[in-house]
Amino acid sequence: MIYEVINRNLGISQIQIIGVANSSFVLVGDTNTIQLVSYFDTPPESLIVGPFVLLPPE
Amino acid sequence: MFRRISNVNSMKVNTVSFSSVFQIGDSKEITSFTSGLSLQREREYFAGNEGTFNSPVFYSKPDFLPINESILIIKQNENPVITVGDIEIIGVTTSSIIHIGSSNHIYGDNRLKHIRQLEDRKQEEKMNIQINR
Repeated sequence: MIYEVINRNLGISQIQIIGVANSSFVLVGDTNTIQLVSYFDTPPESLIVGPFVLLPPE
Repeated sequence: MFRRISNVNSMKVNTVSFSSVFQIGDSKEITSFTSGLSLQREREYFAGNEGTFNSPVFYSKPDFLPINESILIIKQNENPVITVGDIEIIGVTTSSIIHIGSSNHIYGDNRLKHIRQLEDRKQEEKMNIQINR
């Protein structure tokens, strides 16, 4: 594959961001490669309904 | 490979917390890891040492599909500058990065396990009925 890019003008007037969290990036600039991985888990056993018990520690 | 220059007029960042970085300048490689255990509890009492990071969410290796095609990238930057006026960011947290400048390779990895612990509605109702009698 030949991937040809011509960058002409890139001008941004304003950026407003409330929050960036958990290994996220705000990038103003060029980058060759970006790899992002996210695992979010709420399995059935992590919904607990019932009498109050503390979670067991490590 | 030629990288464009990043030109930012003004920046306002309120909070940079929990191993986060606000960088002005180029970098070669950025790797960022987060492991989070989030406990949402209806009854507001937390012991401070609860929970473990033993779940597969935290130690699974990501399964990237292999790329079996070679690629030739040709880039022409007619304007050598990326221009941004004003940037305002309230907060960056938990191993996140604000980066003004170019980089080569960026890897971000976030693992989050979310637990919800709710009160038993039927128990509450039984107690309310007993109290009201």
